[in-house]
Amino acid sequence: MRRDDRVDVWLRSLGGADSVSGDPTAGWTCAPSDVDGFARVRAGLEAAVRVVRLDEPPGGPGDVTVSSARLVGVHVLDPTSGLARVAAGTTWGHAEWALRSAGHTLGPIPQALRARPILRSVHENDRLRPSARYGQLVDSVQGLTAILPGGSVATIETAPRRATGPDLGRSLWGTHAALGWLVEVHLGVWPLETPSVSGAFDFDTAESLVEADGHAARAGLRPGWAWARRRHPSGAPRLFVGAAPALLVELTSAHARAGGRPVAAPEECRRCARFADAGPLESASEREVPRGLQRGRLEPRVALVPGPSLAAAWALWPEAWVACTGEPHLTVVLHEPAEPTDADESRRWAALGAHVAGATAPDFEDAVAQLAAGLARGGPR
Amino acid sequence: MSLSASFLSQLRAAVGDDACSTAPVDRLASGRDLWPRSLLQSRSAPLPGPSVVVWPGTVREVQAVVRLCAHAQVPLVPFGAGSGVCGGALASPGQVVLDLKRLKRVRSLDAARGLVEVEAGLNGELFERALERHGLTLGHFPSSIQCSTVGGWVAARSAGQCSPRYGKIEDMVVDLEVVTGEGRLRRTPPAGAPGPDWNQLFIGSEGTLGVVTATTLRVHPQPAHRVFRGYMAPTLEAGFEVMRRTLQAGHRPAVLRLYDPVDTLMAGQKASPDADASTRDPAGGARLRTMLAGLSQPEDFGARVLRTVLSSASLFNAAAGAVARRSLLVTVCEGERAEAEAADASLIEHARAVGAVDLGEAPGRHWLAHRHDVSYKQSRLYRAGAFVDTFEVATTWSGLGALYTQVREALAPHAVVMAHFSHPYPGGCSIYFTFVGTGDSPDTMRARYDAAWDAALGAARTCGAALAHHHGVGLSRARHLGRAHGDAVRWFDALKTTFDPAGILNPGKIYERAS
Repeated sequence: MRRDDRVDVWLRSLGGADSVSGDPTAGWTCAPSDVDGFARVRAGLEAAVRVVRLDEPPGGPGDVTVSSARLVGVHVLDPTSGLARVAAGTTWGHAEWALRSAGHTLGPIPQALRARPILRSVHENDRLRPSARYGQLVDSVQGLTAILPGGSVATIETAPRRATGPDLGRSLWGTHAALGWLVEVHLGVWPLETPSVSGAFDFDTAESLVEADGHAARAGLRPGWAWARRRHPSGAPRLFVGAAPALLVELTSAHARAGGRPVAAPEECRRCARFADAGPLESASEREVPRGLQRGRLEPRVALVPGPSLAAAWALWPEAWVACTGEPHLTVVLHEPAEPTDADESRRWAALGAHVAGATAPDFEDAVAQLAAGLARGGPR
Repeated sequence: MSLSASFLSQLRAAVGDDACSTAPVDRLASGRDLWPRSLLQSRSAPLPGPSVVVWPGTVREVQAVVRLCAHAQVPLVPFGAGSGVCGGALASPGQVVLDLKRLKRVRSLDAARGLVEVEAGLNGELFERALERHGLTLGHFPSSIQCSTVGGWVAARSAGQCSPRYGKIEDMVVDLEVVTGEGRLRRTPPAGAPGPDWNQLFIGSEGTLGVVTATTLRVHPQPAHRVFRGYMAPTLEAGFEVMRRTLQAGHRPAVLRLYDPVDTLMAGQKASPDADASTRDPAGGARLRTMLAGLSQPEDFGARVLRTVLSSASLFNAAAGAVARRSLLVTVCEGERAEAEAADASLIEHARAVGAVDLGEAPGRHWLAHRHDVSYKQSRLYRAGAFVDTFEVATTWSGLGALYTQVREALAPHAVVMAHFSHPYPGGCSIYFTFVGTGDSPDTMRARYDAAWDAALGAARTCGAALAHHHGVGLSRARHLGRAHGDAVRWFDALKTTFDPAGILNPGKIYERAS
């Protein structure tokens, strides 16, 4: 172990001259700005028998953590193939803004994810962007580079699609960085199209909404985004949709077959307009939780609910938003207290759990820990 | 290596006497797939095959067999229908083959939600017919559909001919039931659930991490409407543009098949819509196939000509490359009428923009009627002392032209080569090379075959392409895949030690070192 008063010098030698902040009392944060720096820092810290932690504040005197805050940038864009190389500390909002400047888009990025670094979405397997047109966020990540235990660099280039063999890049998704630190991604991007318009449709029941959603998917109608929530005070569902103008016309006709009624004339898609004015979001505030969520001390939580269970889910959680993508399982987003204190909230969540698909994975409970142990034993090849 | 009598007796007890065999004919039938290299090898000497084949009839019996093998440290090779072409199901003496064909039930069908749970050993064609009776389709039509199983599709990360619309098998899987190497039965959470997506780690693992016993799949209503069409693109690159622009505009035609100029020339495709449809064969290689058929008659003049052609592959490839320019694009758009017509209209628009000639609907219809013609005629070639194989790779649109040229040039000295492009995505496309060669003796033929593969894989790696797309890895690419993936293979090692701690599941496949 190194003497604490030399730790900052040592860290600078690994991560770069301007990569270190902190002091011996509060602990240090090392924020390398490139992949090689990350690899050196991880290898160095592990060799020094330090516990390596990513994107957490230092825990006190002598502690060292690693930050992805400077691992930011959209490096390369292949416009023909629709492929961008993006540093994994970049937030989704920043990536979308930079891509839009170059005439491309990732598709709709929910408000809750705009300030979220891409690596955090991968490590925690964010499921907040289901889109019939653009897919889930996981579908955007076509290749990746990660730093493994021991500091070796692993790259999986899967563009344009997963090849045969297991999709090893998926090892990182949802494993909370236990199997490696994501440092770079290849993102599939789309050409910016005709500006989208948004529309809204009222349904009488959750069942008719699910029917309409399935019908639209079978007809190949794939909007950029489609979210539903219950209206007050009736409790009947209202579906909000963003799509190209011609597609919205077709959707209107398709939804009418299941009893969907347009609420008003289509208007400019505000979700898209927000990005046009947003700017690069490069300041530290990009990493903050959006203010609206902060005020209520709420955070989004995702549940996968079979279509027939939607009414039951809404009965338990009337304020939930539901993503409509024509899939057999609907993505339901609940906003619940970051630190639940309300016993009623907990009871509702427990009751909802009975309807959620894959809420627990009992057959794989211990698998991530075993994988991490296996990876740590393996060492660099 | 032989297995002990007590082990064999335990196997019999686990699955029943009738479902366990050491007979040579069973070991021959279930101990190999259609990997051309082993077919070539078998012409010199019979393949040794596994020591025993078992046919479990229930998932519990699968678990029992896996537990026995794990306890006795006996390697086990899962087997579907043996249609693989990469040696993924090749078994050796001392190994047990676990043939899953008795697990063939459709366990449940929820037409309203578009979900079906099916066991792994069900034959693909029978499965699709079962769905058809309910007005449904999986939308998965590999050319091997008549001789492959659902479990085989999952194990090899298969793609079907309608992948532009319905996706590859990994897009259809909702969850998996897997028996892992300790004999434990596990059910993966459904795709989209929070947490790791275990499905994508088992799909494509070719039985090295677990034996897939059942899966829930998304299914679709039978298409209400189809639009067929063919185009003659002035160049191969123009054909790329039509596919790329259509897909990036958000359309999903069911079939997009672009034949390279050599394949287009060999197919005898005319350049205008008024040509007689009966003379065209958009399934590719009509004239070549006619010649290949002649190979089974050694005294036939056509066969002698073909042998000469194959012996001078470089010359033939250079000449064909110089003469052929145009590329045939076959398209099928399906779904509800509005969707199919919108996709077709987009194709027409982009085809016009690159100067492609609209050939009408005959090429599309003809392709549909003849789409399986090639796959089941290859044995004639082997009998006549030649070999044929296919090599599918994938890359981005910007790298596609270079990949095509470099792999073609790499293969050209060793075999007559042609290609088509049939699994396009918004970001890129796969290339499906077909190469045919011969040699004076089994040894020279095998040497030429190996040289062709090494050259092709080397060229693909140089281009940074994915070394496989949907045929699997098996033994044929195991050495190269490990090199291409570098340190990422450590993830596989960790998966292997987690799910197959005894290391018994399909050893040596996927990654040469790791297994």
